[in-house]
Amino acid sequence: MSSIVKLESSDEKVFEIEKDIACMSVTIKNMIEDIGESDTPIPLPNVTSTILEKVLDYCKHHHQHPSPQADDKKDEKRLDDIPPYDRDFCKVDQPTLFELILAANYLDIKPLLDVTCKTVANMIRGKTPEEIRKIFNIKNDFTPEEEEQIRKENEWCEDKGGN
Amino acid sequence: MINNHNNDILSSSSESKIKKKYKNNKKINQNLFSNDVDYIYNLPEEIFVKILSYLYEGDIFNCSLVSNYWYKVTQSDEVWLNIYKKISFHCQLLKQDYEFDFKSIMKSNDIAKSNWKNGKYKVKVFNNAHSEVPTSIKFTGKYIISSSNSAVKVWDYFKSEGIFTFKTKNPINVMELDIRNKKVIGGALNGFVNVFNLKTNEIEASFKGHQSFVSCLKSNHNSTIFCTGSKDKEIRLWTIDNNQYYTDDDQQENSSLRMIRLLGSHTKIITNVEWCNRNNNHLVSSGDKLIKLWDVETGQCITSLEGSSLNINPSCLSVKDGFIASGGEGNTVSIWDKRLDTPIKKIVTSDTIFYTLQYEPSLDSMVTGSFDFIRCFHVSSATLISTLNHKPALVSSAHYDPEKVISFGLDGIINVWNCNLDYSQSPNPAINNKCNYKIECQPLIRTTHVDETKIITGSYDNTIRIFDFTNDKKDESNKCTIM
Repeated sequence: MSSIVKLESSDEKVFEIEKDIACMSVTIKNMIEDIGESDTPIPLPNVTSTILEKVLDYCKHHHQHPSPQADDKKDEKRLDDIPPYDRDFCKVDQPTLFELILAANYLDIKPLLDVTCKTVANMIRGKTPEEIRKIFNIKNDFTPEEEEQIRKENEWCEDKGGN
Repeated sequence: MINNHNNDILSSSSESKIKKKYKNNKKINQNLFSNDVDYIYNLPEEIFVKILSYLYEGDIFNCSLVSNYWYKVTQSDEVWLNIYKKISFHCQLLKQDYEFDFKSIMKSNDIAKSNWKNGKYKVKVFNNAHSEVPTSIKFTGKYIISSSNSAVKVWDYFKSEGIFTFKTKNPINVMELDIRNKKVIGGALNGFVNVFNLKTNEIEASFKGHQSFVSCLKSNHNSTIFCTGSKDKEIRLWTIDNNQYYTDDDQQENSSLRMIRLLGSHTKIITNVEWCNRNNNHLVSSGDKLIKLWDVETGQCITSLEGSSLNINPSCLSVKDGFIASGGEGNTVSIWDKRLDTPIKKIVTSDTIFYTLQYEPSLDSMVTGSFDFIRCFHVSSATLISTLNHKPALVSSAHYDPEKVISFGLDGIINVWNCNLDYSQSPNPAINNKCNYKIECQPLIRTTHVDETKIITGSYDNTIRIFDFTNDKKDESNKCTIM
């Protein structure tokens, strides 16, 4: 049984969690290694309690259900291999999804960062520029001439898709 | 890993310490998380690049048209490097330094793809490139390096001109490039191993590494360790010491060749050495009827595999994705999973000898060359799918990727077959076994380089020819400057 560590979110809520689970975050792992174990909660000023709770849920699930080591490096970049739990986990609104990405990045939890980024990539895949703008609230700041030029410059890769 | 004994000392001050250390991190502006927010713009750019790295060119094209910011990020080298990694079948350029414009490379590869199909190529000829027959050719992405008995020459591929000649007494037979594409390591017929520095134009090292000629030379995954096999039956490992490895100051670049170890031996001439792409420390060698798997780190021979061939011929050992395929004298190709001692597959053919063999586990296909036939096999069912006829001449070597087979004949004819060799789903029975086009390259070809956009050959008329399938510029000149 591993010891318990305390984590404090930006809104000053304290979470208690097994050290092994917390250490799925490389950032937390490094902090603990730096300062040693203590009763003082580790402050995570970049993560809100709502997001931290979700992140810890993710870590708990994957701690209990370790995924088999993927040995095929080529498949790492595949978009359609998101496991069911992770897929459901990422079915959240955009603000939450992007907060999760930032939290995963800050906490350095690679599998969570991978799966959230894949989710965003899936939102982009197969969409027209206009559809992408709509989905992500982006303003088209091209002049028609610029747009035409980019289109020309890159037309060779239009309609090229992998699998 | 935790310094428990530090607990007492640290507990009192740890809180302030942590806060000091980690509070300086960039804060997320919470106000951003409302509706109508461009979240992607607010992501660190490296995360946006990571997201884009999951996509292919068509989607990247659409992304580039979203906004100025998206355009900027989609043009970054890393996005294109990722696409190259995913799409390029052999990924030859990844072994070396990354100073490439991968977007242009992908563009040329794309143009080349249709040109390969239609047989559209431009020929550049370096007449009398050497005073003897070119023995090996390497391509750095920018330079062509060619060797012969008395010289190693450097050519600018894009300008089609000679850059430099290294005169050497050692007849270089095989070559590899170092990690930064700045040095060439060469193995010679007299057993010498040399290092040619492309920046200083000096021969940095010349060392009698073997008692007899160096028959094979291969670099590891990142071109830092080199393995030589020789007629003296021994396998040796080398590295190029680079004292100023991390600086670009050429003045201080003192480096020399260093032998790491004598790895081991066979009972006959070493015909092949191949590195494993899945485990960087594993190396496979063939020398007699045995295939040996080595751990380079410890220098131990992990296992010896015996197939059906009496001898394993040069270019007839294929090592990829943890599988080993070999052929030679005899009618059988043996395929191993390198973790097992007995072959997982024996493919019996109507041939009696193999001159060339390539097995691609990811495609579940294998191509062999024997006399005047090229044969394509579906490996998991061990069935012959197609026989390609190279008549009238013998096949000297062959190369294949999912879209085509290129075979080189002893008459100097290069045949190109466009056929789908990805059998991983199911073999395509309606395979095209008529040669699509022939490239005349007389006389006899000694050495070749094949990549996604070109074939480079060195022939017995001492000439180097480039068959360039990119052909994007309407440049009709095929004159080349000779050194």
